[in-house]
Amino acid sequence: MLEKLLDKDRVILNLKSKNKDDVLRELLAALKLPEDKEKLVYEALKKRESIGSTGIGKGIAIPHTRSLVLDKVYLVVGRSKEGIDFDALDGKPVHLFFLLCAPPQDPGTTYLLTLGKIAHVARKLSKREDYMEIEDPDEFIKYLAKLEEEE
Amino acid sequence: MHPVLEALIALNDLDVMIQELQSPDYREIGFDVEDQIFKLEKARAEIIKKIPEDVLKKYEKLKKKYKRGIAPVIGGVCMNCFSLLPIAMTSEADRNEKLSTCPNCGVFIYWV
Repeated sequence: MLEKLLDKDRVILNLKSKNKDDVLRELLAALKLPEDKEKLVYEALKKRESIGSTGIGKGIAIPHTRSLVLDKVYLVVGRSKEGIDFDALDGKPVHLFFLLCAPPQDPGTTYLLTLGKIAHVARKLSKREDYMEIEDPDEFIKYLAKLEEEE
Repeated sequence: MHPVLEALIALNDLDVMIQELQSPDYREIGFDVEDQIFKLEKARAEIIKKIPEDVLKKYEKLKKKYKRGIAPVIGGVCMNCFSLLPIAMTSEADRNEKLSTCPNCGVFIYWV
């Protein structure tokens, strides 16, 4: 499921951002939305973060939202080797981001299913560190797909 | 984009978020948002200030009826009632620069 939603343009292995707002913008920019749409999705993401960080701990965050301006489910993966302060639940810097955005109603409720899959993969990733070494986006997608398939 | 249309989209995004945060499926995933929804209600109150009273009243009425007051138009079709909109409407270049409603169901519409 994650593999289908990703392509190498939506895998950023060296995030440049240093703070929460900038990283949300950097991840969102990968969707290449028109400016007015991007602004509305960014606002929705910020509102979601305002009620509790999606930095779930162990260096992983899953910022997510729905927005009327989107036509389909979008996923972007970003990695920061230095780590970014994202107000994570454990207070530690975040190294891996999964940005998930979807329209209000999506056929087959892909959004919640994908969110569940990401949370599942994130739990596995939290016990590993080898994902920090991968330098090729396609290889990174395959790595995630393999983790998703593992029981 | 028309500023009121923009505010209606933000309001809808927030309403969807508030609704979803309360769903068991969302909570099962493991995000802890207990007792935080009031923060979104506060944000909602701020957005509402940008919407004229009559428009807001209509939005709330439609939301009660259809669970949404605004719907996207995709491929010329209103995603609330799935009726095909008149070509005259879909071919307008400035269609998101004004506030329009679906001629069939009456919800506010936004061209994705």
